Amino acid sequence: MRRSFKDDPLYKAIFYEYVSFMVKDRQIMEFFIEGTRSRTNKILQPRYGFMSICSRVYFNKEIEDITFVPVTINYSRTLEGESFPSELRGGKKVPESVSRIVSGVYDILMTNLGTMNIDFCQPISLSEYTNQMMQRIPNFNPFTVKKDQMLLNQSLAHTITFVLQKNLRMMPTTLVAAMILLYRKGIAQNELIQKV
Amino acid sequence: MIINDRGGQFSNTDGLPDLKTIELGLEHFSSYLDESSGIYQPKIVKDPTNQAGDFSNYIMLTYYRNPLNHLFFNESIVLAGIHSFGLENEWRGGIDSTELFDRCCYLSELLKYEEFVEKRIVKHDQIFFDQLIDFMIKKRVLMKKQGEGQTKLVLRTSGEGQIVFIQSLIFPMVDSYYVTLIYIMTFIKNKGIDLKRVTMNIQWLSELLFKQGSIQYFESCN
Repeated sequence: MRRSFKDDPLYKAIFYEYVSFMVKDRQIMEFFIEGTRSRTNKILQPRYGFMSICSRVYFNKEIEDITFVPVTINYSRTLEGESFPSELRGGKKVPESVSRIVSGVYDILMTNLGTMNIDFCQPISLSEYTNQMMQRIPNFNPFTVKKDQMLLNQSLAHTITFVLQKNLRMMPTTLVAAMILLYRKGIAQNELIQKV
Repeated sequence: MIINDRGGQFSNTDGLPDLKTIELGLEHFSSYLDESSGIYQPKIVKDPTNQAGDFSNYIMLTYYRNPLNHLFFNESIVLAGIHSFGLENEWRGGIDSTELFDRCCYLSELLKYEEFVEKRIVKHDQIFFDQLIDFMIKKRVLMKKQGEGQTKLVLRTSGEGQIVFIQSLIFPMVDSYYVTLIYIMTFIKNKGIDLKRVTMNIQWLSELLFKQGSIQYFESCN
């Protein structure tokens, strides 16, 4: 999909219809709630776009429920991480391309990228979430009031993001980096073990 | 342990990091670290265009450290707030909790885009702030001190290790804002700044201040 389709109403309409169709058809879809890769490795503010397209199908009563399953993926090392310090210091982003992937295949295969942890968190039912909000807030009705629908989407996106944050795993690289940066004049391995 | 206390989870199923964890971490960082006689430190790469060297590896290590920041974010706001009262007050004289709350609210608002956290220190939620202070007392970071008819807060000497660690997570952010503010102040005299170059210029200024020793952390330069 395109990164942005603000200036293309036809693309936007087709995309909306396609996603809505997939939701109605109960297809499993994957999306990244932060919308982009974090250059700092910190959790970013969620984006509401894709989730609101999905939830609109529910609020239009075209489907009885949607289940969101937050999934965290934690890596020991990030494959494209080497380019981030340059980007963070004002360098230009290296564009993704097939040639870049092909030329990097050897490096990928020869580098020990460590382990990866995938955690499937507690599923969140949209209908339950909506009912809870309707009980909590007087006169709240996302089925009829657009503003309430937006509020619910934002709240749900935040809830999903906080679930992801709570389930982040502190990888060996996180712990060692924390200690090395604390003792940046030097630390012995045995002291490092003790501190961690 | 201090990560566990704040709800952090580790990559292994045993719940605590072990020797293997450290070995793995060091193995992955072999290109970012210098090792001499068993002592590890971030590698400063020689740079022909820069006598001080290239400190990019600090940014890389920060990238890997950042996932744990959110666990300590509110505490780090409190510690930075306490630090603003000066060394004498933070370690000996003590700090009034109400004044501290005001400063923490200011700092929390200023840095609100730096960490996306579920609960943050805000003016309308003094209860959360009080609970946070109680937690920090329980974890031996702070202690209460009686003086001049009122209870004050001081840093706990025995908690210095934790204090230095938690502060090291926030000071780079504070320094980034400090450098940006200094640069913005040059707008008063210099009206002809190209807005497209502002970010690059702030980057240049922060790296210059780091080389001169005015700011302590290279992580501030991003």
